Amino acid sequence: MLERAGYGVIVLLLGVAIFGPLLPLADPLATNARAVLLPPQAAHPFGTDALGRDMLARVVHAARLDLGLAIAAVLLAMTTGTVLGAAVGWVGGLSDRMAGWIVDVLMALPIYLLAMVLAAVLGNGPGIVVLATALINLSFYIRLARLEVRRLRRAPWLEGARMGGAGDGTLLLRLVLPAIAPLVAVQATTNLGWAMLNAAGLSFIGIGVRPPVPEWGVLIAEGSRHLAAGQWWLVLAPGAALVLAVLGFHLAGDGLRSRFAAGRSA
Amino acid sequence: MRWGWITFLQVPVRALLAMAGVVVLSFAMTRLLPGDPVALLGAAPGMEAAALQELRQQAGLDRPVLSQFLSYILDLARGDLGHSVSTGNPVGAEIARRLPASLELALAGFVPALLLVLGTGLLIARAPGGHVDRLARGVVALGAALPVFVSGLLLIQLFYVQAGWVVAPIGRIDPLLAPPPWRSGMLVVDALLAGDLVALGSVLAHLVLPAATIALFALVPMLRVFRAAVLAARVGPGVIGARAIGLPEGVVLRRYLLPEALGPLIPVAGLTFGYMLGASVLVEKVFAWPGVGRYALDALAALDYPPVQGVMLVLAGLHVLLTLLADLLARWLDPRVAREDA
Repeated sequence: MLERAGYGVIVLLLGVAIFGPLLPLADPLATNARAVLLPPQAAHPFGTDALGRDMLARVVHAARLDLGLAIAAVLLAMTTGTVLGAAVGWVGGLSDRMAGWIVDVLMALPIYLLAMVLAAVLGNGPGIVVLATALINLSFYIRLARLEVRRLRRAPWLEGARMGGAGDGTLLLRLVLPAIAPLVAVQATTNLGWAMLNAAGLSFIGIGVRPPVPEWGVLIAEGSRHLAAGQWWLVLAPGAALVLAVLGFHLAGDGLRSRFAAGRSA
Repeated sequence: MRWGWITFLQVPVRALLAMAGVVVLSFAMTRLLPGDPVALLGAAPGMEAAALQELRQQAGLDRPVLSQFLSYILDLARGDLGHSVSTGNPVGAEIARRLPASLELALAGFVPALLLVLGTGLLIARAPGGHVDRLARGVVALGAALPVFVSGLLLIQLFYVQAGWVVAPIGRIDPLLAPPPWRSGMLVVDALLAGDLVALGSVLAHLVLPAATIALFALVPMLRVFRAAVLAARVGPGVIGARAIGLPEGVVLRRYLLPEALGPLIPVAGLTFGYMLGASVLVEKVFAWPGVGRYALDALAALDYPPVQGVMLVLAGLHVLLTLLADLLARWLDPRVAREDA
């Protein structure tokens, strides 16, 4: 039930991200000095901001960027981490210890500060968000792949393939990676939720996406300035969109995980 | 027993290696990537190539990388984190001045969250699937999706803007009040030591919302793990055995269930505290809290680079230290942890 709700949210989010800009909405960047800070009403369901821009249009247009950043970061972390973790888990020995050390170092890095240092060194931009989020999440995939491959290494069906003459590369690419792929995919689903939180959090403190580009973290940061004056809708609309999206990925991920665990023990 | 000591020693060694990795990474990011610290100054008007060259020499940037790295390590060992470009102040001292504010906020959020998790866990142990259990599951599911900057703003909207129960959520103390004399840097402690009840009231009124925000953030991962651990320990051999010999329920919970369920909670509590310090950047921005996160943010906005790097190193160091302590505590409580690790 909750898992279905999660899938529903993901489908909705994908739909908004892909088709949102095609909807007959206001221009998210068009300012209007005569419609400043309007509360939610028929013409502007989510109200308008300090420059009279339509919040509904801004929240909808932001979905593509937020989802895109999260997907890019997770894809980067997932492919790099899984291949690295699987390789060291397979080879073992010194490389395995090195990977454990890399995981320890990555886990110690505070993401927001890491992103700030990267932004200072490489220049601020959306790429920083992807890079920092991917670096922080890399360790989850390294650990997962390493553990699974170590567990699988002595599996009879792999021994069989080895006796059939398959080399290390073939075994790893054709048999081991596909075998751990479902587990990695489950991890990635939940991870997309975290990545969205990270991306929005980084934009909130001014790293990555900058105004006037609509992005949920940027919108929340802009709206927070008007909260004390009573203009709550500026924070509520992008905040609710962000929480709903993250919740969707978490519910779907949890559902997949328990389904997967049940399948494995059976 | 001999091997037990060796595995015990592995833990601090691992922490040291992790910290060494962080230092190497931090150095590499400043020196090996494009844009050395002096190049930032080069953007300033009136800077000539000769002047830049002189600055590079002063900063030792013309020396080989390895020798730069050595002097970097020596500086770090002396607690020297470099100087702020915009103010000229030593970064180490600036961080030391702001760290108590961040730690006070972190502790004020973490301790209530931990107590709440322990209490809730014991209630769940008495009635799994009951109201408390269902509430806990709901809080965990919803809380994991709630970023601190949204929950912080939500609390401001509810308790400041609408209910008007707390003071304006800016800073640590009423700007018209004289802060208590500096002892620990934690204003709650300092106000208590000075016996200044007016200051204490103002400090607590400023602390409650950011601390609640942090508590909500810290609650979620700890509650998730402790709930699962309690439910697992409830049907574990220790508790079943204790029940079978007829021990009273209170003793079973305290002496058998709790220690076993604490095992998984401790490492997660250590990690959570570390992540919390990292996420304090967001909370400090929302509540204009003058901690290290805000210091780094202000420095970044001024293109002042050493403070950002310094704060990253200090927070990473604290994270490593907390993980180490949690790891040692978990091993001391439950020697099986060491064996599972190998």
